[in-house]
Amino acid sequence: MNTASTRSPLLRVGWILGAALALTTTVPASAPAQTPPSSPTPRAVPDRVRLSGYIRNTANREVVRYALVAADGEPSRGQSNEDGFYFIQLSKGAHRLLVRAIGFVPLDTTITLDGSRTLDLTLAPATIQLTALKVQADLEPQQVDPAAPEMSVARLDLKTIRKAPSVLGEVDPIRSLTLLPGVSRSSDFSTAFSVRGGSADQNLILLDESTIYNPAHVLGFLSVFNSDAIDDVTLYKGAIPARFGGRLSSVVDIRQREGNANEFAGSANIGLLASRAAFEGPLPGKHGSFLVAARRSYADLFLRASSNKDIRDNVAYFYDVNAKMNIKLGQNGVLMLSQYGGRDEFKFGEQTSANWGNQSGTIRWNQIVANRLFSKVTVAGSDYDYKLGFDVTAKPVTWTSRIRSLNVKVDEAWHLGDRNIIEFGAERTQHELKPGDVRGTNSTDTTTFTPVRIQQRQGIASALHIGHEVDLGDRISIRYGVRYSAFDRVGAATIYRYANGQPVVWSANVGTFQPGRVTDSTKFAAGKSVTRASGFEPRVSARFGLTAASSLKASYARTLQYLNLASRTNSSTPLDIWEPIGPYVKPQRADQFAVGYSSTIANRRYELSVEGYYKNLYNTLEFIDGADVLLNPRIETAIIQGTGRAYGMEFYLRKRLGTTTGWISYTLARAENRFLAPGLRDAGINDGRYFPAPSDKTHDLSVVAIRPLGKRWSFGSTFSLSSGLPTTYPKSRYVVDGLLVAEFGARNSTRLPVYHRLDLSLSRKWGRGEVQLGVYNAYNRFNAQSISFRQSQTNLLVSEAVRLSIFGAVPSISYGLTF
Amino acid sequence: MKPIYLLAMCLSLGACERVVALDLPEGPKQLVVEARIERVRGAVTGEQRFRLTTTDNYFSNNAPPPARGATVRVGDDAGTIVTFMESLTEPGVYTTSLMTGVLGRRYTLQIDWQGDRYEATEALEPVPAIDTLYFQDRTSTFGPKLGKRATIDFRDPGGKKNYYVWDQYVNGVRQVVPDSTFRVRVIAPDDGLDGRRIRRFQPYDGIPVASGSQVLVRQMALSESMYRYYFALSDQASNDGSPFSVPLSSVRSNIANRTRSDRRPLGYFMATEVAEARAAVP
Repeated sequence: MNTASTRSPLLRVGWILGAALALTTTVPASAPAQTPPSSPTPRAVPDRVRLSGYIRNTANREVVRYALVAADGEPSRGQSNEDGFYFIQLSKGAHRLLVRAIGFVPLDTTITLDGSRTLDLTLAPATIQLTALKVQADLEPQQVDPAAPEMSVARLDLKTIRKAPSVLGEVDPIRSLTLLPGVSRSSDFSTAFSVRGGSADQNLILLDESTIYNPAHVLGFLSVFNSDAIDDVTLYKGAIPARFGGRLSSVVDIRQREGNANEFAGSANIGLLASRAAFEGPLPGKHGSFLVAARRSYADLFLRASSNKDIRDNVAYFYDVNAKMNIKLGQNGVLMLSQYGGRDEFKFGEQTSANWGNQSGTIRWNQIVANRLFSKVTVAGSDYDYKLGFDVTAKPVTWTSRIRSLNVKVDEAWHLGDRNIIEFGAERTQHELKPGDVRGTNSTDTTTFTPVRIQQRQGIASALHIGHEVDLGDRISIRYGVRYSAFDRVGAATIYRYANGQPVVWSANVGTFQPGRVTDSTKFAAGKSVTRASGFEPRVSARFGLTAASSLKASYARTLQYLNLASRTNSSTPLDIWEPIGPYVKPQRADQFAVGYSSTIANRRYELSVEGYYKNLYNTLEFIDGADVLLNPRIETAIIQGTGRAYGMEFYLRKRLGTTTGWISYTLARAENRFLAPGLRDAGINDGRYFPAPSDKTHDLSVVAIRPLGKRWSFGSTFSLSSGLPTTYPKSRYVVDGLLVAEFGARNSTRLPVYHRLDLSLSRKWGRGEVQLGVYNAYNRFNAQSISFRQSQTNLLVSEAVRLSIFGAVPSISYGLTF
Repeated sequence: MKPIYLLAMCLSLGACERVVALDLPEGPKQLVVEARIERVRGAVTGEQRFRLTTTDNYFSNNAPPPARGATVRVGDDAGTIVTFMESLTEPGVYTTSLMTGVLGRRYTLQIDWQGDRYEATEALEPVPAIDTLYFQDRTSTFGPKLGKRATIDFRDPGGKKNYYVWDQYVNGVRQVVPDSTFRVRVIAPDDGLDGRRIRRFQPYDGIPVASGSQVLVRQMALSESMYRYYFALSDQASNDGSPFSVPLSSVRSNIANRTRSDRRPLGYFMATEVAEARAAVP
């Protein structure tokens, strides 16, 4: 692929779309989407008929996810899925239907059924009226259907998150995830997060089903998800459904809003860090809806105001653009087009620059077939790249790196009956990874710099999955399934061979891992298979109802990961590259067991869930000392693989009704890693013993409270308290070549001081406008990001321990307007 | 080339640093070795000089304690063994005047100290000559520009992976770090520069040199394992605990303790040709 010709955004979109079309036509003709099974085994009693369709919001006709549908006098009930599709089986005749969803006025309607039919049901959004909320108390559903076998799932309600405090007034869905149990962050600075002891690259982050490889702006400070364009964030921490795969620890499923299909609407928001605007409305002829949202930061406008010319010429900003369009295809089909594009730009002086960004696009066709098959065909492309400019011996050079993927998948949900669903599907993803390419900026000048090019990695990930969710009587429901996944590394590639087949050897003499000795290499032609890894990923979860309001749950899930982030730093950075599995790097694997209890208390005012989990991880990654992972043609000589174990208890108590709402989440956890020297039991990192993972927090407490004050004011607060992160302290010091060096004790054997922080926010409405004031870290606690050790600059014999804190108290103000 | 520094420069969100008091446990005393066999281009000398010290409490704030009474020997693959003598005036410094380095020869260091035997083997790496040393404004667009910097031209030998380390002396005083911001050893691989003539290179580009000063630049070669040693040393010496630095960890020496593998020595043993260039700042 000639990368130069695909630089322009237009061409790039063309590449994604063109390839998408080419691939959809090659999807096997047996794609179940087009041919519904001709002879389903009808389990239903003959006089029962099927009612299915979408549940929509009356205000803007966007779909309503996870709404509950129940009928009077019938045991049947249904819940709309993540695309708003519901299914219920009823007897012929008249029924009173009851539909409920969080934040909506329950719908109570009657319907007469002569036969199976498709019907969209609409819900009106609940206005913030306290009295109404109280009346609704016994009607409001839980966030998760209490009868579903689903567990270890958290849904982030963006309406709530907008009322809660945020850093610099920029609502960040990813930052907000860390307020949930089982999710922790290793830095105040970064949005990179860890789920149940996993590493940041073990989270699959999907934006409208397209993988986002580096979801960070401003070096990780802010996620790329513009809260104006986001509707729903669902986090799967365990019991991950079989339709998801490719990452070990979690799936973050982010959906963009569809846009208002009734009327044109817009919003604008001015904050300290960035400004945002969104516009949405119906498509001509009411054939659907669209949404466009954009955001740009303006730190560089302040730079431009500087009197210093050097500072004035610097550039520092990011932007992103989200767009989505939903087109109705008759009553039963929807075509969705979704796009994201964003970039960060930094420039210092004339030659030093850094920029990076994601582009993603999704085309999806949803179709309801015969009232019982919900079919999705999706084509999603994603592209992340960065570009650095700097000088080498006074000549400008450009460094580029890129990862592209194109995913095609088919997902089917076949409703055999009430609470009896078979889900199956297939997917294929083509990956193209360019680890690094450095060349003279002026391409005609080849006299001073020989281009350095690390060979591209090509891979094809494919998967098949099937699952069945069924109720066994009133008390028990179960979901079981399996995913078969495979990853093919294909050429062109040069694969090196090492002495004794070991790209990394343990040198017992000096106690370090060292690169192995190259003996030979083999060239693989383009498209030729280099290596293949595959495996089955069984997933099971079950629920046992104790009472109408409480249940016990248990699950097991295996996950495999074929793409790993090669990052040596404490937090992931935009420069990190993804390295696929190969002849030497094995897929990461995790087995997770979880048990849980969930219930509603006090007439559904409170929701309680308690979960315990135990997870074993295999082939997790670490990097050898002193090896560079960037521009390393034999990166396998820098990678060691080990094992991990993580276990913990999570408590989550949420108050959803009443004047004050919010939640308390508490996690008691442990996560440890072990990297053994090959074939030895007591050698390796930390002498081959388990040591705490970088994200390990023994205790982690978050309290979120939101309270309206009268009709116009609203108050929000979050409080966090957690154990310090593991770190390493020196046991002595020495001098080499004049540099003072710390000799450290066992890895991660000590901890940073306890972390606590209070954030506050206050907002007031004025007509269509709203002002939000906030303060992050209200009592100005200098929490330790790290404690590092250095030689004093004034006296070279003196050593110092230095605490680095990212934020003191940070006030913020923002103004938003809707029209 | 460490592009991560680009990121570090971007992180200016008012992060706050404060020196804190800590109670740290006292570790065992470990031997620290700074042993470099040199062959200076254009000079014939048998002088070699090693320095042995020990670790100390982290907050001791004293000069590193010398390691006295060691037996230091260097053997080569030609069968010669030279014993180094401890200096009478500088404790912990071991010297000889009988060892002329030979290109490509493999040298084995052997130290006996406090009942333990330490060993390491390295080959003497060749290094190209510095063609010219001159003084210019800072070529990098980073950092303060004020003042002239020592600048060198040389040609990288082609067809082979080379790693370099530089030292700079101003009026006879060795500059420890190239810049007050980054406490690192100045090292570089020849990525993208294999066989090229390298012009206007400023190894210590953060340090302006005053007019009239005598400047000495020493260019040395590193083996691949010594390059990784200095890379790891620089990672740790400049570790500021930011999200973009690597986890804190011990820097492992290329020297082995043959008696007790759990009492690891620190520091390095290397052998290199040295290219020197001297000039007065105009």
